[in-house]
Amino acid sequence: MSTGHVLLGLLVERPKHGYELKKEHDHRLAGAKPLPYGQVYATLQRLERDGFAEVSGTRQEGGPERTVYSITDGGRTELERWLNTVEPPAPYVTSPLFSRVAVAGTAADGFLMRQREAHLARMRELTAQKASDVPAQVLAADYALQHLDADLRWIETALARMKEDDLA
Amino acid sequence: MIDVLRMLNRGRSRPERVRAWLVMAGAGVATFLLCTAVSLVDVRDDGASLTGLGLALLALPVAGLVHQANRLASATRERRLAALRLAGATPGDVRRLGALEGGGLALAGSLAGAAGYVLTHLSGPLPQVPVVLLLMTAAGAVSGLRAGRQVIASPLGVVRRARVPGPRVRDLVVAVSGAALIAWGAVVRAGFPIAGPYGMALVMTVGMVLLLVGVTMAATWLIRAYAVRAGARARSPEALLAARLVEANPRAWARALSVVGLAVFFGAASGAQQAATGYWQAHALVDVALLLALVAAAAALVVHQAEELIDLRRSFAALAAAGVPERSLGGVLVRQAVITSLPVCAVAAVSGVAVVVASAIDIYQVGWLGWAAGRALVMTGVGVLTAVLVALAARPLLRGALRLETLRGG
Amino acid sequence: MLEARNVSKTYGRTKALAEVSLEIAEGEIVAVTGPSGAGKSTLMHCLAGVVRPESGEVVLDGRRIDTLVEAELTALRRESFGIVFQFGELVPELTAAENVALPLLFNRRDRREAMATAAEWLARLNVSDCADQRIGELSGGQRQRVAVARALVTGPRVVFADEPTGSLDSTGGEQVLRALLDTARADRTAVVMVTHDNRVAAYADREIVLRDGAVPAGAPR
Repeated sequence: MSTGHVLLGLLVERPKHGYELKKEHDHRLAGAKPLPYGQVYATLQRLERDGFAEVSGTRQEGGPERTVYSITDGGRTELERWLNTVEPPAPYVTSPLFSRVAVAGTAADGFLMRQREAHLARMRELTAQKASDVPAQVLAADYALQHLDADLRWIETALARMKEDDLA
Repeated sequence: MIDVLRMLNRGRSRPERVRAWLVMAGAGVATFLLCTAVSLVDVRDDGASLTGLGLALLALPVAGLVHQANRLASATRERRLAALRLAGATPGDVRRLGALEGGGLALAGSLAGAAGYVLTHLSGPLPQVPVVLLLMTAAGAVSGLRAGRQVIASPLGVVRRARVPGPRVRDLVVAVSGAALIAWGAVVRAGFPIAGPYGMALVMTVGMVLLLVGVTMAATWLIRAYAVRAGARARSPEALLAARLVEANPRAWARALSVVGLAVFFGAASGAQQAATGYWQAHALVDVALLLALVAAAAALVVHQAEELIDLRRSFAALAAAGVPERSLGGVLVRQAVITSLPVCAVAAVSGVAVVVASAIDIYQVGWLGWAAGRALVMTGVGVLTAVLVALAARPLLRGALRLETLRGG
Repeated sequence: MLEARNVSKTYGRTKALAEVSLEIAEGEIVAVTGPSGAGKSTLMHCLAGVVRPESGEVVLDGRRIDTLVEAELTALRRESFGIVFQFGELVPELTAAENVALPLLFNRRDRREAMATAAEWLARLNVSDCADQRIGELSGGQRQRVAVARALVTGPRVVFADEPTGSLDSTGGEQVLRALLDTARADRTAVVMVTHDNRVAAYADREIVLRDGAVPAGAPR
């Protein structure tokens, strides 16, 4: 339910309407997949049902009239709980990259070289984005870069291990 | 403690063995020279006394060489001492180890030197031999003790090039008390209260050592001041680098140049005296001693140069990789030699002449000054030339230091 | 502009480079990566004319440089190349400004003029405050910036950087890297950087992967 928690977090500052929430979500979580508009409303309704948020009025700014939501005390407690919960450190290895190599075995050599290329190309894009100096974007790019770097280093190790196995 | 020392000795590296041999040989030669010098002192014969003085003079640079040699391979030794400290040795243990090692080597060397003297002087005199032995051993222990002092302060204290402490008033006190001892010996002569002429020789020798140490430390001021000036005026990068390198570490240069300065001082003084009076034969002997002193001085300079190149090798290798020709870096070494030796030799020569002229101001004739000045000039030139020649001779060392492998692997 | 053709180099019995060929265009930023011991530094040293290859050719602007006599090669390194070392390798006894001015002085430029140019470069790399400080008084990041200024001050065609962020923490390292690359881009100076860090390599326009002294088949070159 983490989208709901993010929206709760955005509502803490002041009551907001759905469109505002979508825009702020996409800005603050710069590297994440943009939030579809429909999902914003579905999530808000769920929050309302659970008693974490409530409708506090409507607002009209030139365009259509929009429903404004605000956070409840129950919502604040729930947000607090979520923020303090430790994320379980990846109990299972789940990555298509890993699965492919595990299935292909030593035959994955050529694939890994091409995958390396793709990873590095993406890292170059992300690095270029960092030049923008927008803090949220730099933060997101750093996150992605370090994960891609971890993949790359794993690819290096995998290639080295395959070579050792060949020699053995 | 002795067991630890024995254990460490078995694992010594080649440069450390070289150091051990150098220290022993130096201590041996110095002992032999000092014993012979004392045997020559004769209150009734100024000529023989002068010769003795010449030999004592020669022993000083050799002893200086021992001290320089004790600093050789210091990086290896420091790493070893640091490891000992981390393994739980107390500062006292480390200090004792250093003193034992230095003192032991000096004792072994000077025993050999003393044996050489006794065999060649069976008819005596012999009373000075144990004194000289004791002195050399003590000096070796002190030198060994000082060599590990950075590590004693901190176990991880593999020395970075810290700012060198400036000259201190203590240095002047040492120099003045040395001069006072010499004057005392010279004035009282045969009427010396303890052990007659031997006591006098001993007091004068101690005075000379103190004077030399004090003046050397005071030379730090001179060298640094001259280097600052040279750095500000430098037009070429070689001169700028040389001046700044000297400015950062004038004390090491002062130490390495002390013997050169001393030789120039006595050379100029004896020149000024020659102009006035005879003793030609004794003076010739002193000149020979001076020449040998210069050779020993050159050896001390070589050790210093090698030590310095080890310090500089990373920055020099980087410069060479960036396209600075080896010739230019060699030029830096030569300019360093000039920047440091010129002020030291000039001051030494002038004070050498001044001492003689001042002590005989009532009889000294203006006409003699020409000869004296000429000798002073020649001695200055010889001193600077020695330093420059050593710098030129260090080229192969420099080439080794510039190898790019220096920069690999951090 | 700078090209290696079938360059090989052996140290003792280990083959450091085997028949490596590559080309670097003017103003291009290239990262040489690979596991340690892959021959990255050796390749850089061959390209920079610091080490001569046993076989093969190194060509700068159509001119073979691996066959030049030592004096010419040294002069070429001084005038056409700049090097940033992993640990800066500045002269600790000189001030930051003097360190930067040093290559100009060795090109026999007047001291006052050289110091003025050095001051401009320190300003460009945001370390003007350090101009009169000795290297020992600078932080790691400041040192690396001074080293970058020293490599760029002569307006070289190519700057070589050996693990330019090697001795730095991450954000400081990034700032130095960006300072180096931004200035190089602005002046159309080519950069060849050797690194084991993929995140550093991602700053380059292109990556050359080395493995066991060679560019593996299928890898970009």
